[in-house]
Amino acid sequence: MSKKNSFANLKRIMSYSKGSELKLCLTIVMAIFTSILTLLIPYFVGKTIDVLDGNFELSQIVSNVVIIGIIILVTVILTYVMNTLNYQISYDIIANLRNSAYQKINRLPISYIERTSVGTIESLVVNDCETISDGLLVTLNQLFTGVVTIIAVFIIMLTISWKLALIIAVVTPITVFITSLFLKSINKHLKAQSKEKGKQTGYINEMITNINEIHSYDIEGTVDHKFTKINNGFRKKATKAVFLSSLVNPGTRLFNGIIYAIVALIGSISVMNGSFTIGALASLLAYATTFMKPINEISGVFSELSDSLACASRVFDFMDENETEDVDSSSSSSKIDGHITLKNVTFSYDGKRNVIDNLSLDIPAGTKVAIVGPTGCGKSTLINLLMRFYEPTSGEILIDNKNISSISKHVLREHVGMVPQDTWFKTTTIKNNILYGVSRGSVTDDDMIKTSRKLGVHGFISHLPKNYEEIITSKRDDISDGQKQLLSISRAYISNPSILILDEATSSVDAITENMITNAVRELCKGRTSIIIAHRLSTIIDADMIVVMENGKIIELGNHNELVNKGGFYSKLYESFVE
Amino acid sequence: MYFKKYRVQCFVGPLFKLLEVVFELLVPVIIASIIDNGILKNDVNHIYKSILILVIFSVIGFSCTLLAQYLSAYASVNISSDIREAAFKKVLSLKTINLEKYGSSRVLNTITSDINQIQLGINLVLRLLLRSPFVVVGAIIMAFTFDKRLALIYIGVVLVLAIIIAINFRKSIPAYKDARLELDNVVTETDDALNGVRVIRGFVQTENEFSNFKEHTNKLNILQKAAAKINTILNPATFLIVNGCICLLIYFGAIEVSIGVLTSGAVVALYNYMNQILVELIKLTNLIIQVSRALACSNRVATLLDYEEPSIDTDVEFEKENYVEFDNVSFSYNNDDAKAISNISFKLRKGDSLGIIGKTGSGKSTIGAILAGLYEQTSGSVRYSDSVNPTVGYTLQKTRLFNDTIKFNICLNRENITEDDLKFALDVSCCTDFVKTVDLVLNEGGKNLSGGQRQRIGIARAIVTKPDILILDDASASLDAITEKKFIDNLSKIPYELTKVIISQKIKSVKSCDSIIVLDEGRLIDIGNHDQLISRCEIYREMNKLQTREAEL
Repeated sequence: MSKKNSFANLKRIMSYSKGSELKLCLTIVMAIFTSILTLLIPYFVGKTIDVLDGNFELSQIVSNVVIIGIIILVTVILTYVMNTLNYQISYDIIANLRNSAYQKINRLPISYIERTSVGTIESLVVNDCETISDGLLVTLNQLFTGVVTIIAVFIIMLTISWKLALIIAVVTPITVFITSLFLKSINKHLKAQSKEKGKQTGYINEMITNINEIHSYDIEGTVDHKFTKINNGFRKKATKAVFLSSLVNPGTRLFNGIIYAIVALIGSISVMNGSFTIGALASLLAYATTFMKPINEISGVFSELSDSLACASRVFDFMDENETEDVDSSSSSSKIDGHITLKNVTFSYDGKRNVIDNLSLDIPAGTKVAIVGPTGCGKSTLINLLMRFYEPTSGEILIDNKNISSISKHVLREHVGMVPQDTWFKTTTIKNNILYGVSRGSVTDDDMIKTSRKLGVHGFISHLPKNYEEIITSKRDDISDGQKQLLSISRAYISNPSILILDEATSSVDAITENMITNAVRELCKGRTSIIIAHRLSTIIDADMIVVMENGKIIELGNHNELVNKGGFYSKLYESFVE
Repeated sequence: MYFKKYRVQCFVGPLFKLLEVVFELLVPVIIASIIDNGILKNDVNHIYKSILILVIFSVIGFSCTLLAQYLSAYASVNISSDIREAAFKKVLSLKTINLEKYGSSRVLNTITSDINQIQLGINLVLRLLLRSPFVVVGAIIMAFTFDKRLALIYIGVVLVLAIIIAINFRKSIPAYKDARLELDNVVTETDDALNGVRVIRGFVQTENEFSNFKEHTNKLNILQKAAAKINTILNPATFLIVNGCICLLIYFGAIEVSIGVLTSGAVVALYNYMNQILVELIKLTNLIIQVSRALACSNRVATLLDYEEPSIDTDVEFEKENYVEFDNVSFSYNNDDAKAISNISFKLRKGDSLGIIGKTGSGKSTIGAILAGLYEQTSGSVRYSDSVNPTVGYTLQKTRLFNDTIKFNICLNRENITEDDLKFALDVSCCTDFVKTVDLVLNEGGKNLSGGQRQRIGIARAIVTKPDILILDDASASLDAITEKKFIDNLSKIPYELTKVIISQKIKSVKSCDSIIVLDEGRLIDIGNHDQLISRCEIYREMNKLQTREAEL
């Protein structure tokens, strides 16, 4: 990452500190003050000890101690306020970053989200945002206090003994240089370690998800063996990284010790010459210690900052992903007729193979259309295009003779209801899930229950401990697949769309549930244009129009009787059903 | 227990750390001696000698640390890696059902981040948590050698701080726990946004979802601030107390110097010790927070490692003429609760095919899972005629795929699979229709395949080892009707004696089996072939009627 890039990222992170600018300035000012005040304490202590030499009045001591006491109090108050501001800023930036990252998810094309693993984006929103803000705040603070401390200590040392101060000033850059070399190599090892860690986590995650497979095929041995290998790789890298990074502090202490000895040597000789007091020596020695600390911290700051900037560039790369384009939404909720026309529509995911190939189809308003065909014929893609999850490569799709790319997605989707093949529910109550597509309060509980009765979900819901207030998730396994499908149908039904798109679930359910679903689907399709990717014979036969697809093209078109008599693909399919 | 292997490192590491502390603590003594014996007595040689000793001490101290740091890094990484391996083994040994009950995200977090925290904790304890008390205690002892009465101040400092830290601790841990729980909600919301992207957009709910998410980040923000507020007091408090005591030290020191009990060099030394204590105590307070976190994590790991699976004795005797025999087998998910299947008995001969049919939740899959060895029956026994258990191929309704090649996904690294076996499996499972090359790498979860294609890979996976028993749990559910027919055809043409168990809700799929078990609410209603069942089993007849009518609609 280039310097310029890092700077741009830094500036960008700062743009998320909106509302905290004042606090940020305050903490920096306070950081400068506290570090100066902290340094004044040894200075006054040294002065007081000087008084101890020879004859002295206790009152002199008392007044000095009072000054020290006041400095301590002010420092403590400043530190407390500063730390409070710091965490407030930090957590506010995290929240801002998270909110923006989440909003970004909503604006990304579906293809990006389904291509990227859930874990990757999740750790971006959860972990990386935290690292950015944490690292940044700690480092900025240390940077300011560190620089201030170094300068101040140097000035104070100059006033005590310019000779010693110069010696320290010469020795220090050498140690800084050595430390920075060292830190670079540590960084390399830390990176190697986190790479191993990532590999390990990925592996564990995959194996836990697939534990059923592992047991069924008896491959525990292989899996365990591979894990041990990965873990051993981690051991080596981690031991090195942990060891090296734990050397920074002792290393500084070694340099410290040497500088300390030099100061003590020259200092004591100066005292013997009479050019120097014992008190001055005591405070000088204390300063020599405090001088080294921030220097070490500052070198640490850069490695931490680079870590946090690395996270930042990951998050910002994500934030800069291409978004889906959309026309301005002029929210018109008026009913539409639902006349759908596809004109020479072609679509390809990879730019090579056309999944939909020059397809034209006219669906009059209110028609029920069933689409059938072998796996991979382009059925699901057709739905993706109608919902504008993807845009056609060429050709156009019209609703009521209006090109859908000129309607905002928002408005389009308000008119189109959807029952996806894989049922998904939000982690919330059944009621909230059924009423998912309608605005709050527009459907009464009575209406909801009436609909549930009609579609046959009321029965099982009323057997749940909390009825409609029961919290469900997509993975909950004491609710059967069939029941989930019925819930998904209810959700679409209540939103009362003009056009309905239904991707029938393939998992088989028992005959009674099957019957209930058939009825619910029939109810759902009443009075709207419906496009159904059908797997159930009953739905197919029910349709006004059956579209048989193969390789992205329509190969047969007509109603059940017409197609059976034709003796083509459809009649073969039908035979396999009745057998 | 895991420390045992590394006890040498764990003992020697802190020991050398102790040595470093000793050398460090001697520094103020030497400085005091420089002042009192060198400067005040005008002895230059003494100063040179003392300085040389100072440098030597630093170098020796550094060497000691070098060794100590290496040993603690070595020990902490290896101990935690051992624990990780043990935990992973434990997870692999868990029955699927128990893993589900335990929570797979919890397991993942335990093996990764919890054990990382433990590593951090062990390393810090070996390196620093022992160092700080050494320094503090050492500094106090050294202070006593200078002045017994002034040294009492040191003890006061430590006591007061200990109380503050303890109070702080009790308050901050629950606060952090609350924040942690809210963070889980943020994760869930993000998860929903990603997995439910189609539904959320389809129902035009992005704005509402965002305001939900924002609500949670706000709550989290408030809880985090509340937790941080408690800890913010720690550093200033330590600073205040230690520096306040420095004031006291100087004041009382001055009185003693004026009486002549104490030298000014001794006051400098006492002051230096107090400073050392301050630095260490501030480190210690930060450390304690870390270590307590590691302790909480080790509790979670221990719970996983100690997790005991309920199990029972099986395999009593064999009955030769039957290949597999279920004898009064019952199974329940929660041991005492409602039984998923109860008192199921049947016999299966080699090469026969068995159909299992019933409604959703009737216990069909449970029988399959017990046959495959995924679940263990709660009571009753499962017996095999061979002394060695037969090999089982098992396909699940949902096939999970690994982010690897198709070949890997079918063979799964199992031994003795030839190219011919692979080809055979691809043919039987109708994979040849879409697999052009077995070296194609699949996306995570096989997202680049359709549901039906994934299913076929799953079937190929079960059959590639040419198992003795093949269990198909609703395996043809997401196949289109034509492929399903082709697949069933292929199955009947398999050239060796394969025992088949076909679990389905569709009569069509089990119709041709040698015998069919009809299940209802976990009970075996009847067993027989299609014609027998049609003539005598009402539930079966009812199902048949419904499904035929359905088909003829």
